[in-house]
Amino acid sequence: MVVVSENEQLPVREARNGDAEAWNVLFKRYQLPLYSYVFELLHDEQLSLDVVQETFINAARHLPSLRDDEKFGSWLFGIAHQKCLQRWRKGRPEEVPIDAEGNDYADVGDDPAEWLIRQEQEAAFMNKLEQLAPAHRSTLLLHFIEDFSLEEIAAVTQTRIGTVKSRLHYAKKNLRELLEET
Amino acid sequence: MKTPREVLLGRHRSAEPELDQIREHIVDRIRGSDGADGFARKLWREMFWPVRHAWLGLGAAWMVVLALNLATGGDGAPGVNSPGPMAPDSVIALQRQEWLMAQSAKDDAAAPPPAKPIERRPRSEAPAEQRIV
Repeated sequence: MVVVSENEQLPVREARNGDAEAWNVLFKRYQLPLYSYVFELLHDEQLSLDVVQETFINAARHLPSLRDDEKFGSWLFGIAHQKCLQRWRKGRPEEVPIDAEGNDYADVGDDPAEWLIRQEQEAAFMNKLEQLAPAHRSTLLLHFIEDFSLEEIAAVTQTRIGTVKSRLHYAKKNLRELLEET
Repeated sequence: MKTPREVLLGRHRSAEPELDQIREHIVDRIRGSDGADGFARKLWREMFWPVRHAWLGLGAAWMVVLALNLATGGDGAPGVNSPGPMAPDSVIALQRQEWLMAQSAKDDAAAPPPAKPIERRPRSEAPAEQRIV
């Protein structure tokens, strides 16, 4: 079986040609990050597994519509994000949806690698992450999990880059404040 | 110390067996689809899709040709194969040839009908004046 490290070239081209092994490599690379992202938005194990499954099926069906192989990751997360929105709108209409607009703020935050968390802080970190507004949480998760660029996050969430900048700024600020409280 | 990514992924590692099952199931379906209608898909992927722009261009060119043909009434626009105006010498030669053809047809009409074939009879049935004694 072909094993691909995170920075290595992904076999998207082979997958386009219907190579099942290439699909296996792609799915294996993204299954856990994708599940983590979906779960942190929906907070339901079975629902999250369903969304991951539907995302993979859609990806296998619609790969020809992807123009740039380099953007496979953000494209895949974009499919999952849309499925989360659908579930969100069905199940939790009273809450603020994850695509709600935020204020523009032209500031880009730190590198995700600079956010080092001690073992005793892990539970608090996750707890505080859940307290963030859904739109901020979604943006921060994409930044933390895949280190997507602002453009990629904007493509995944189908929002403007300015909105993504704003969300990322406020999400980090709020998370830092929440962490400092503990 | 861990990065947020490590914390987030570590929190969900327990879901990996289910995720592996999902992945294997979908990959099996992709493998299976290669057998049934694989030929048509392969043909599409290898013959059409890589050169789709060329196919589209060719299709567009044919559409233009068809549109032009329809616009000119479909009776063959003046082109490479259509005859141009004839030279005066050719017209005279053609007229002379037609006149000759007409003359020969007239001569054919004026000619006497073909002679009746002679019936052969026994010599004894011949008229007496012709009979040699």
